[in-house]
Amino acid sequence: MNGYEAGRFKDLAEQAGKIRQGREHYFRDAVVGHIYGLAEEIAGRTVRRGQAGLDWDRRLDDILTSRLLGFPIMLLLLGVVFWVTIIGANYLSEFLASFFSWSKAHLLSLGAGLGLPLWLQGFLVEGVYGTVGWVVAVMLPPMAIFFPIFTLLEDLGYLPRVAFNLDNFFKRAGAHGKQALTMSMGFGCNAAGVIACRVIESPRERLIATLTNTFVPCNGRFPTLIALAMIFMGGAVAAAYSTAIAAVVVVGIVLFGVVITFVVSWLLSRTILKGLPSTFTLELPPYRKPQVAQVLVRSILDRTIFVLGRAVIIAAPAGGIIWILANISVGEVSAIAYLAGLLDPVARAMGLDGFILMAFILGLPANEIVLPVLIMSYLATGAMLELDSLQALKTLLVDQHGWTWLTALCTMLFALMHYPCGTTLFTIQRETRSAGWTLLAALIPLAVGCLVCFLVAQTVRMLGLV
Amino acid sequence: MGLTSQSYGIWTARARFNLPVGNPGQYIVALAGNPNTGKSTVFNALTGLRQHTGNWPGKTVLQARGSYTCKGRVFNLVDLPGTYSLLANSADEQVARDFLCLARPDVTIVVADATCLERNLNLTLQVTEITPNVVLCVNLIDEARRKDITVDFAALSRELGVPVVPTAASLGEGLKQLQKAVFDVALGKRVISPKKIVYHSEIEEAISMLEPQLQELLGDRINHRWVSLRILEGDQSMLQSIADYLGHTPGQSLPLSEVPA
Amino acid sequence: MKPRHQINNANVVISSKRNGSTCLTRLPLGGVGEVTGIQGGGQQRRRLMDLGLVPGTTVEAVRRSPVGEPTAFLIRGAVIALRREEAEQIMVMQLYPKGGSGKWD
Repeated sequence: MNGYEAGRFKDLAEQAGKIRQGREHYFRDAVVGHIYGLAEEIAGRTVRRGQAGLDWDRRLDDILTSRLLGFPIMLLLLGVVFWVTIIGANYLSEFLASFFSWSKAHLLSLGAGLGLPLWLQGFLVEGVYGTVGWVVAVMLPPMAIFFPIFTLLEDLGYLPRVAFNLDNFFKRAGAHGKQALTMSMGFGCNAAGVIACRVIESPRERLIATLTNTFVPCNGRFPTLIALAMIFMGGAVAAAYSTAIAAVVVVGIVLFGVVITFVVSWLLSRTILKGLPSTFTLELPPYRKPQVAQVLVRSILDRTIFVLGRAVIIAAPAGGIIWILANISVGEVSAIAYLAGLLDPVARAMGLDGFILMAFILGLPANEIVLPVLIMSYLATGAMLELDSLQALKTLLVDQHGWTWLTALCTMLFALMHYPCGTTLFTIQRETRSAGWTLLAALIPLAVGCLVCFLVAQTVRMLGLV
Repeated sequence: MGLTSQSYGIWTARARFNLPVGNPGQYIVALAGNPNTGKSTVFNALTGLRQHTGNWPGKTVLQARGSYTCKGRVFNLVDLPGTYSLLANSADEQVARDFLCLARPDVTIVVADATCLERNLNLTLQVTEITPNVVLCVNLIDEARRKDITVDFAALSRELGVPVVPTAASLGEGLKQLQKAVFDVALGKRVISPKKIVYHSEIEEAISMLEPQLQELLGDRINHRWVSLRILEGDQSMLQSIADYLGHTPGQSLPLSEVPA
Repeated sequence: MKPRHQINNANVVISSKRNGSTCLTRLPLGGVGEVTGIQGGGQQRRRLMDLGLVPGTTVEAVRRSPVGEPTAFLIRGAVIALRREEAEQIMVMQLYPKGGSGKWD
């Protein structure tokens, strides 16, 4: 644009200003009012409302947002969703685990039959295939079940009600009301949650939402929480209640994550991200009947393909690397045991052990490989164990590697609060275009996680509870 | 006058939005509407893209694109962010407004919620102010039926002066008719004359003072009446957007800061 | 109710207590009011107007969040939640229930 045009534009703006004569709102108000008036007239002439029957939307909302029942129902809903996920996932996992066990044995004999060198057999079958098998057997079922249920809730229109119930907390924490929605997205996938933060216009509040998104456990972390909750907390009570108890525990962990989100948001808005809260529009749309079958099918397919894809791309190489580390020696121990040993003192202070910490470090690319990597590294250093059930997993953890409920708890807490996965970090970098904020996005949760685990572990030990 | 920017045609504006330009037989269709009207469902239904739709206000879908073919022509669909109005209070609204104003799609489908028509008409009327090539898609008629709400579509079409197509996108109802209406509008088979919105005399006078100058400055590329209204209101962002898309270096601010808003 | 912004001397309908209008926060649940004007300026005002809160619009206070705020209002067919600071800027004439004004507890 040349100077002439710019000048003309300026003239026009000045002219308009003169016409306005300082009546700041006059024209705007008149225009908006006129159009709304027209809309009202036209609607009046063309829309007819019949005898409104029972207003189901209102009645439902009366319950879902009521003082008495609003929050309990939210918690209950969360619990039920987890409960259904756990039950469904159990069946599927048992089946898949046996399948992989069986196929692994066959692959090994196939390899032997083909005359492959032992190390190659081990690398391919134990390392790569084994890890992929674990991701598919343990991680896929919960993800494939939780996501569709969550999508249904979303399509139904429940999430704005959650935002409505929680808005005041966000306001007090200095965060944006829509953070309730970005957090909900984080349940599915933290990377998606970070992208969802785009709906928050104010950069300050968008950053708060982005930096704290990882405190909501994503799909990839649920299976870890569920598996450990089932084994340790569920296993401690009678079988009839074990699933329910496990669901309660997972809900508890999630709640804790939500509380931490508020606390960290509050801290951020008082320190490095100070500013005024901005306004936004929260609409409570009518409930809609979701296309149940369509959503379920599409969602399950989507998730399965997604997880399988990631399993191949990420878990397979990771499994290969683990196997290599387990079979290279550093001095008298395997590389894996050596590395774990290095990490052990720090880990123990946090209630974990070296292998667990290492699994988290190696799990940077994707959260769902943490447990499988841990299992693989334990197996590589211990006795051979056929892992075809959760019971066997318990034996591995408790009997062979000395896990207690404290270890499980700290592992779950650390799973909840550590750096975001590689995909999420990459997304944060892309959205914030700042290496500094991305680094913080990794360090803040890590610091919080280490601190909390440390405190929990020390307190429990001091009290002599374990 | 030698205004070099006169040589920028509509194609350049479209190119800046990353749209396919200059292909005969290819049309650009914008999808606008309030949040929560099932706009994404309409988008998916028309384009066949498997995108997830959630009943969730404020979900930003930045320029989702797709296409469909109808009678041998390709229609490129651009899903604009759901907004309550085009009066540019937020980035969403600016995106939608800029796209409609500057990229000038061949057809704009406004998706409205049949159960909540009055509120949706606000955006519809604003859109017809910017561009005449509008098709009003009244969606969620299944919900309206459930709630015993009836809409006289023919009367609505007369009142607004644009084609009105009832749909229930999630059930697949009305989509063929919608495609046909879009086709007719895009190919000029149907003459649209949206009812002109006339404000009271002081405003109209003011518009008549500014409009001719804008006409001279911008040619036929941009709807001058709309732009005059926005300038009158003191909307700086509108001028800035025009400046950006006319070849001005984006981000370089116009010397407007001295002008009182 | 503390005045937060300078009220300009424009030709906008500004309500005052003399007209019998109060701010939206004083509308009890289930109560209906007619908008007489919006105080303040800037983006918040424009946003509220774009939601349909123009003078003459009827607004109904539908429900309140379990923790006290925000409050959801029925505005031209849509249920929209407004925080206290926003609702305070909107002046309404209470139509129903007649007489008393509720408190925002």
